[in-house]
Amino acid sequence: MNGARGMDRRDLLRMAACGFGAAAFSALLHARSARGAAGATPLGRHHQAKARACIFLYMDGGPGQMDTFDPKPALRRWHGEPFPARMEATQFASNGTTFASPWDFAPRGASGIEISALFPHLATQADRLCVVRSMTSPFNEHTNANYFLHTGVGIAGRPSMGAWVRHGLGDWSSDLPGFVVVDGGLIPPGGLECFGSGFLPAGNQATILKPRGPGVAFVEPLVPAARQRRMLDLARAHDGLLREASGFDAAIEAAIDNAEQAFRMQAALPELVRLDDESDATRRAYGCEDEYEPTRTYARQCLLARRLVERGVPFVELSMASTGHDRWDQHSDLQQGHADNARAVDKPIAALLQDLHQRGLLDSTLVVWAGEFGRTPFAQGSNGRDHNPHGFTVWLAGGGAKGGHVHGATDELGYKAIEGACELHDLHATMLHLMGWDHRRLSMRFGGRDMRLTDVHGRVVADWIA
Amino acid sequence: MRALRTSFAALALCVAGLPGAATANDGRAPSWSREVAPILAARCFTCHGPDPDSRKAGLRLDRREDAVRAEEGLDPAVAPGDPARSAILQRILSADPDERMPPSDGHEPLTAGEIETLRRWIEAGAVYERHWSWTRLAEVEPPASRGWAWTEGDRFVEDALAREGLAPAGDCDGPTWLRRASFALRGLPPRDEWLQAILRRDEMGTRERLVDEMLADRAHAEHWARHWLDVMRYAETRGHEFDYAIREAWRWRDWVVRALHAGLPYDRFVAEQVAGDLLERRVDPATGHDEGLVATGWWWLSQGTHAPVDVRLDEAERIDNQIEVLGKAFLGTTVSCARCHDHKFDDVSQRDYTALFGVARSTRRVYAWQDPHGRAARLLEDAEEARAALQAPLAPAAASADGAAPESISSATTPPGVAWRFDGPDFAGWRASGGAFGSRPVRAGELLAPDGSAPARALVGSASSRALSAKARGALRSPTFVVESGDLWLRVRGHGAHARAHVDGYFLDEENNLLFESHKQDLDHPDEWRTRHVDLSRYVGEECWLELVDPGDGWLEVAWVATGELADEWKAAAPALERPLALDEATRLALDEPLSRLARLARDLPEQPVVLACEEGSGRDAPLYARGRPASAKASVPRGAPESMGTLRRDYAAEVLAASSAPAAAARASDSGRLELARELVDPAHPLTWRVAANRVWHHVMGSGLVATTDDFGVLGTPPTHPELLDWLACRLREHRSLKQLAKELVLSRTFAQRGAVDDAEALERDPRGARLSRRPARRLPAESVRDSLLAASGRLVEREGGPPVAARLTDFMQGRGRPGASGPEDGAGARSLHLEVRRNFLDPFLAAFDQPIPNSPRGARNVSNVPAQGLALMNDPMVRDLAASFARWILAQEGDAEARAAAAIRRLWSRPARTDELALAKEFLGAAPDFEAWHDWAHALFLAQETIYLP
Repeated sequence: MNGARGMDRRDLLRMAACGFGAAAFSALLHARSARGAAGATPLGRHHQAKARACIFLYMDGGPGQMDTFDPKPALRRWHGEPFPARMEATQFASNGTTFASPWDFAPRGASGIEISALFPHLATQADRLCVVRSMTSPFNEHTNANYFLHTGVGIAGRPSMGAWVRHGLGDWSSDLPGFVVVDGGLIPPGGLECFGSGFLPAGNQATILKPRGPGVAFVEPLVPAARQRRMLDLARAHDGLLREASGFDAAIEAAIDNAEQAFRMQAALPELVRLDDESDATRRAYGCEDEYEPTRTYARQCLLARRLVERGVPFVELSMASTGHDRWDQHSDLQQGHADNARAVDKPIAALLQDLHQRGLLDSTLVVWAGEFGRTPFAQGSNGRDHNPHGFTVWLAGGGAKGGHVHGATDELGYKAIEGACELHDLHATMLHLMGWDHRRLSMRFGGRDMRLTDVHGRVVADWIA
Repeated sequence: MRALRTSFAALALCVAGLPGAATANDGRAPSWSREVAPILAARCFTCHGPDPDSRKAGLRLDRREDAVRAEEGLDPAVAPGDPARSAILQRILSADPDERMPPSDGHEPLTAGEIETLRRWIEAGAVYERHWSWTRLAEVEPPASRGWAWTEGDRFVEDALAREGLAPAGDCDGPTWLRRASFALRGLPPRDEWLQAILRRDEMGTRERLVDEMLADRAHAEHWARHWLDVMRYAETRGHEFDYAIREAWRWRDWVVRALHAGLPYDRFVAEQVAGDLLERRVDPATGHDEGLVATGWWWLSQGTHAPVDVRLDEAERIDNQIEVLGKAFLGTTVSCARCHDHKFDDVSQRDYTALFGVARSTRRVYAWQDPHGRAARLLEDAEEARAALQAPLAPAAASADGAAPESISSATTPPGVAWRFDGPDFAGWRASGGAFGSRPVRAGELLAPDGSAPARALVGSASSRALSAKARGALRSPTFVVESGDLWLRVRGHGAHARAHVDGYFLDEENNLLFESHKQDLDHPDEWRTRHVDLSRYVGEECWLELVDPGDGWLEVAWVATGELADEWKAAAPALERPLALDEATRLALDEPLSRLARLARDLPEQPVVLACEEGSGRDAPLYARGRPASAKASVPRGAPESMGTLRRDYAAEVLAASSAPAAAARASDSGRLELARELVDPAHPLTWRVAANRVWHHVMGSGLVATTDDFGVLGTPPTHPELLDWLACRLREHRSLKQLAKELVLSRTFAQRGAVDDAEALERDPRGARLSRRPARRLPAESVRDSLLAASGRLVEREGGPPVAARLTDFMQGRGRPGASGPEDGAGARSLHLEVRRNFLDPFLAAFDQPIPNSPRGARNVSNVPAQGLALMNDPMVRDLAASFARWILAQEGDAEARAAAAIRRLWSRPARTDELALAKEFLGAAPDFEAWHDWAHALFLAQETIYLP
C-alpha cells in the first residue's frame, strides 16, 4: 500500500526517535485512527492559517437573495407582470409573475453595503461582511443541494466540510469533539448524512449538540460518577490482566485511551452547555431572553458556537431553529416566513460577530452564512418563491475574510449570476485556504481516487480575502 | 542541526530495516506492478495517463511505446537503461521550480525513495507489464514446508517469512483460537459445548469438526451476509429528504443469507445477482420461490431523490451507483471512475462504462410476484383450457344476445393512428408478467366467466387481467419509447389496479409525485371505459415505458393506448355494456364443468409475495456522456460487458477455456445484455472475479485482505502482500467455488492461529500490523458483533428466520424529515443486528459508532476507528446498561458462591476459563454480600473491559 508504506516509515521514525515502546505505539495508533487505514495524505495544516476555527451558519431552505443582501429595484418595475426573461425549470413548476421584494434596502456602515430591512441588527455589522452576490449551485432539489453545499457532491455518502477539517487536523485529543453541529431543531433535508464522515474514519462525523439538556447522545452517566469510576477502574484492571496474558497490543492500548477520554467528555460537555457563567449582558445581547422563542433558541446556539470556538473546536455548524415555517423554504407566504426566520437569526448572529470581535476571536474565526441555493425573482403561485440555484448570496466574516466588501453580481432581476460567478466549490476552497489547507492536497484515497472536498474543482477566491 | 542529524540517522536505520527496503537494494529491478506503477499513477498519470482529455503536452507515460519515443533532438521521457537521458528524471530533479515535475501548484514533490525506484527501474530497462490484477491467475504449487505449515496455504506464508527472515509468532491457545474462529465465522461467541470440547482435547480433528459445525450454523450465513450487505450498500430506505421506504428490500437480504447458508457456488452467487431473472430457475425448497428473481433486488437499493428537476441526470446518478457497485463488488474495479473520462489509471475506458450504462438502462425495476412451486402458473394454464372450453357451448347464446359481428365492434372501438391496440392475437410487443393477462388479449365478442361467474360477452377487445381469474396478479409493460408528444391516452377500465408511466426509469413518484403528477393513474371505474390522460409535456424527448398493474384483488382492462392529438369522441366515457347471457338448460349443463373449474382454480390460487427485482426492458444502447453530463451526449456505445473484460478473456482464453465447459455466448441472448454480462463475470478465465472473491474471504477471516483495498484491485489499490498465495487461493476457489470451503481452510491454518504478541521487539518493528503474517494482532469486533455478543451474554439474543426488519431505534438526537412516528424497541427485540432496520437517514447510533458503514458505496473493508463515542455508548447507552442487568440476572441464577458465579460469567463473556487474578478482582469489587446492584455494576464493568470487544 502506497499510503501505508509511507505511514509505516513515519511511524518507525517516531519509534526510532522515541525509543521503542508503548508510548510510540500508542501514538502510532492515534495517528492511524485519525487517518484511516488507507489515508495517504500527511495531515496537519498546509500553511499558516488566518482562521483557527469556522462557524457555519446554515440558512436551511434557501433565503431569497433579493430579499436579504442583493437589492433589485428593477423588480419593482415588473412586479405582477410576466417575468421578462426565460424561466429555467423549477422544482414546483408553478411559476407566477415577477415578484419584487417586500423589503426595503438601505446602505449600511461605512462600506455602504445594502442590506434589507429584514436584518436591522446584522446591519450594524455590515463592515465585517464579505457579501458574495454571485454564488451558484448545480442542484435545484433540497437534498442534492444540501449534500453539495456540505460535501461538494450532490449525493449522500461523502464527508462534510467539518469532517474534512477535523480529519485534516490529524490528532485530536481534546475532551470535546472536533466537529459539532449545534442543532436548533431542524436537521436539514438529507438528514444527518449532511454532517457525516463519508469514507473518513467515523470519528470525523459531527457530534450533534442540543442547545439544551445534556447536549450530546449517551453523555449522561447512568450511575453516579464515583460508581462509574469504580467500574472503569475494574475494567482497566481486567485490561491489565489481558495485557499480561496476551501481551501488549497497540490497538487495545489506544482503545483504553479513548475510553478514558469518553469518561472525561461526560464532564466537559455539560459544563459547556450550561451557560451559567455568561453575564446577563451577554445573554441579553445574543437574545437569550428575547420574547420570540426561535430567537432564544438561535441565541443559545450562537453562544454555544462561541464557547466551542473558545475551547478550540475547529468547526461548528448551526442548523436552523424552527419558526413554524418550513425553514427559509418559502414556496408560499414569503412575507411572513422570511420575516420570522430573519427575526430568529438576526440578533443572535449580530451579537456573535460583535462578541467574537470583543474577545479578540473574530480575526481567527471564519463565520460563513449560506443556504443551499437562493430563490426565484418570480413568484411561485401568488406569494412564494421557488428554488433558484443560478445566482444567490452567501457571506463571510472574520477569519481573514475581507470585511465591508461585495463580490459579484446577479442580473438586474436577481435571477442569475453574471459578474464574478462562483461555485460552492470555490467557497469550500477558500474556506479551507483561510483555515490553513490547500484544498487540492487535503485528500483521502477511497474507491481508487484521491477524494477531496472540492472534487476536481474549486479555486481560492482572492477577492474575498483581506 | 543536532536534531537533523539524529533524524537522518534514524532514517538510514529504518530504511535498512524496512521489509520493502531490504529487497530494494538486492539488485533486482523494481517491479512495475508493485513499485513503479503506483508511483507513476499517483504522481504522473493524471496529466500523462490514459485519459486523452486531461493529457498535458501530449505525453503519455502509461504505455511504453509512448514513453520511450523521442522527439527529434530531445531526450525521450524514458530512455531504457539510461536514467541520465530520461526526461522524466531530469524534470523531477530540476532545480528550476518552473521546470520541475510534478508542478509545484499543489503537488507534493517526489520523495527520494520514489525517485530512486524510478531511476533503478529505468536503469534496468524500463520494463512495463500488465497491471498485476489483470494478468492470468498463476497456477502455482505451494512451496515445500520445513514443518511449520498446517495447511497448504500456510506453506506460502512459511516460505515468505523465511525469505524475509521473519519468524512466525507462536500459536495461540485453544480457547483463543475457538473464540477467534467463532467470531470470524459466525460473528458470535462460541457455544459452551465447543469450549468444553476444546478444553477436553484440542487437536486438529476437534477443530475441524467444530469448524464444520460453525459453517453449518445459520449464524455463519447471517454474519457473512452482513459482509456482503456492506459491499452492496444495503439499506431499507432511500435517504434524501423524506427517507422513503424501499419496500421488500429485506427479501434480498434474506436471499443472501439463504444463498450463503446453502453454500451456493460462487459463480452462481454472482450470476444470480446480475441476471437471476434470466437464468434457469433455482427454487427455494422451503417456499418454492424463484431465488434468481429475488437475487436481482440489489440493483435497486440505491439512495433516491424525489422530484428531480432534471430526470435524465437523476437517471445517470442512479445508474452510476449501480455500475459502481457492480464494478467494485464483483471485479474490484472502479469502473465508475470512467464516467466522465477514460480511467486515469486502469484499463477501463469511458466506452466500457457506457456499455454497462446501456445494460443498466435496458433493465427495469419491477415488483414481481413469486409463484410458490409454480402453482399459480399451472392453475392459470388450466384456466386457459377452461376458458377455451366455455366458448363452444356458449357460441349460440352469444350470437343471439347481440347480432353484430365481433369484428365490427372491434374496429369501431379503436381510434385511428393509435400507438398500441389490444384486440389482436398478442400483446402488441408489451410484456405480460405474473400471469393475470393470460397468453393473449381478450377478443371482442369472446365469452368470459372470471372465477366461474355468470358468463358474459366482451364487447371490446382488450388485454384483461381477469380473463382467467379476477384474483390473478399480473403486469403488462410497454416497449420503451421516446416521448414525442406530451399527451398519452389510455382507454381503460378496472378497479384496485393502476397504470403508470416511467420516465427515464424514474420511480420515486410512487412516493411523491411532484413534477410527475399524472404519471400514476389509479383505476377505479369498473363499469365504465374511460380515456385516461397522462401529461408528459414536461418530458418530451425523454425515454418512457408504461406499465399496467393488477396487484391481485382488483383487475383492469386496456383496449388501446394512443399518443398525440386525439379527437374528443375518443375521450368520452362509455358504459361497459356487459350483460349476463340468458342460458337454456342444455347450455347451462354443458357449462357446469368449465365454470366450476374456473371457480376452483380461483379458490386455489396461492399467496404470491411481491419481490423487488429486475425485468428486461427494451434494449437501448447509451450515448457517451461527455464529462458524465447527460446534457452533452455523443454517439451511442453498444451495451454489454466492458470491452476490456472481453479482451482480458481473449488474451488467454485458448488455454483456460479449452478446459472449461462454458463457452462464451456469441449471440445476444437477453435484450439488456445482462445475461451476457453475468457470463463474462463468472468465466473461469476471468482474472478479477476469483481473485477479488478469494481476497474477500481472506479479509473476513484474517481481518485484513492480502489486497488491503478489497474493492479496488486497480493501479491505485494496494498490491497483494502475498501474490502467489492470492492466486493459489483464487484457483482453489475457482475449482471448488465454495466460499465456506475456503473459509474453512483459512480458519484451520496456522497463520490464523498465530499469537498477536511477540517478545522480539525487532520482529514487532518489522511487522507492526501483521501484514507480513508473522503475527496476528488483536482485532476489534465489528459493530454487529459488539451488540450481538452483549445480547448473547445477557441471554436475550433471539433467533429469527429473517423477514421484515425490526423497526429502527430512534434517540432524541436523531431528528429530521422522514423520522418514523415511533422508535423501534431499544434492544431491537433481541434480534441480531443484521435484522435491524437500516434507515439511511436514521442509522443506528450504536452501530455507527463502531463503524457500520454508511450504505451508499461498496464497503468491502470497514474502517476500524477508535473514538470516544464508542466509550460513551458502552457506558451510557441505556441498551447496554439494560443488557448488563440481564447478564447480572443470569449470573445470579448460576449455582455456587460469588466466586463460582463470577467464573461462570467470565467464561460466558470471554469464552475461556476465568483466571485466579480475575476472581480476586471480582471479590474485591463485589464485597462480602453482593446485592443485585453490585452484580449489575460488575457485569457492566466486564462489558467495558477491552476483551469484550477485542479478540486477542
